[in-house]
Amino acid sequence: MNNTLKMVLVLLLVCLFSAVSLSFLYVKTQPKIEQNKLLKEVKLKKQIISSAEKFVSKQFKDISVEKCYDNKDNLAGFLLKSGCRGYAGEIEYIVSVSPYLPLKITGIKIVSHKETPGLGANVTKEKFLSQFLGKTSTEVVLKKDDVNGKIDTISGATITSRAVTRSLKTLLENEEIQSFVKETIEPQVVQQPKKLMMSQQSTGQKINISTSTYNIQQEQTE
Amino acid sequence: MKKVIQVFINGLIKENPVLIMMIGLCPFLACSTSANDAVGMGLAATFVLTCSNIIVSLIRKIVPKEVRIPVFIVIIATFTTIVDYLIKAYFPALSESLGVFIPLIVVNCIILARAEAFASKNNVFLSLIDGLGMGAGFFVAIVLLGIIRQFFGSATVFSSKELFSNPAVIMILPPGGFLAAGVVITIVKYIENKLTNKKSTSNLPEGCEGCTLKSRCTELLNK
Repeated sequence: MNNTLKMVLVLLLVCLFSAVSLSFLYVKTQPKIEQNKLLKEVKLKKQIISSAEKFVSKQFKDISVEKCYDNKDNLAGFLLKSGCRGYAGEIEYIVSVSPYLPLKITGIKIVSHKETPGLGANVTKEKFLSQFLGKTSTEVVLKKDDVNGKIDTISGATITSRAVTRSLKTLLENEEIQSFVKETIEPQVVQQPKKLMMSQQSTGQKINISTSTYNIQQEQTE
Repeated sequence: MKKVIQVFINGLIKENPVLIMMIGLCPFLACSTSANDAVGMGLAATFVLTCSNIIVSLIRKIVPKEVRIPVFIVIIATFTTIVDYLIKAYFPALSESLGVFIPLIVVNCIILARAEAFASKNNVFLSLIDGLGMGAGFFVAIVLLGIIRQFFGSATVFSSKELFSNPAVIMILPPGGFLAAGVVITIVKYIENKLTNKKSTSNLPEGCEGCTLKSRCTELLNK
């Protein structure tokens, strides 16, 4: 009986001590860990859309969209954050697109992935990602899947390349995002008739202008 | 002092946990895809090993025999989680590349083996030295394998500069790990046999003579 009590006591003490010290450390390090995550995202954002200073975000189902304005409050582009299932888990990426239709990719970075080192992990390399720059949704297809495709597959990582490419294509063709972009840029389009042709906006359609973009237009006309 | 050096050398060379004792092979193979990851893993495991050795040795007299394994595991898990948090907070890049393998230090059998075989029977200072020695042994082995695999598999060593084109990608995949580890262990065994043969007149060591655990066995038998 005495021995049993001792066993229980020792285990209890060791576990208690470990729990207390771990919770102490957790409280100390957690803010730093959160901060690291944010810093990384901000750094990536800056890399792909360097002129942007101000971000206005909006959340769609599993895609977050940010309107980016430069230091003169001109619309610099849109940042889309999304993900797809790769070969070994979720691949998260952020992509910047042009502030006009049809959407063109202007920058892309992989935020996180769990792909095989040396094969699938090469999605993070510029050699693969730079292929997407300046492409519209019809061109964002693997060369091996379609004759119109402009994207080279990473050797040894077809599943990863295909997953990222398809996900980007559906993202560019997403109707919710397209209408969001239309709504945002419409006042600017009036000033730039060329863009109106590209956006293929039917004249009778009702246009919602958000207050922030409306202000920008006023400033520009002044 | 002589004993201290002996304990350290024992961990680093004579009973090198990976290359001679063949324990802790999982992180040895999994985290040696690049030299940087190997350094991170080696240091993290050494830290956990040394700290757990110290604590296990400190409380060795009050822990009842029946619950010693759960107590050891709780101690090891605590230190592993500490390392995990610290790396996440201060070395985010390393935490990303090592990923799930840092929490898996808990089940690195080198650490439990040293807690059970050494720290629970020796004083705090010697346990500290044993932890450092064994950790150094593990560190040297995993970094060596990391350099070999990174060199042949991605044509780089420690940096991102490619030394030659068309590297053999298989070397950084799991099969390459086994290939490289096999070659390294073969060479180590060859050298070991050469050295021991010079001392004794017999040919290849047979039975207990060839076993790395012989000293442990005789120690137990004498008791």
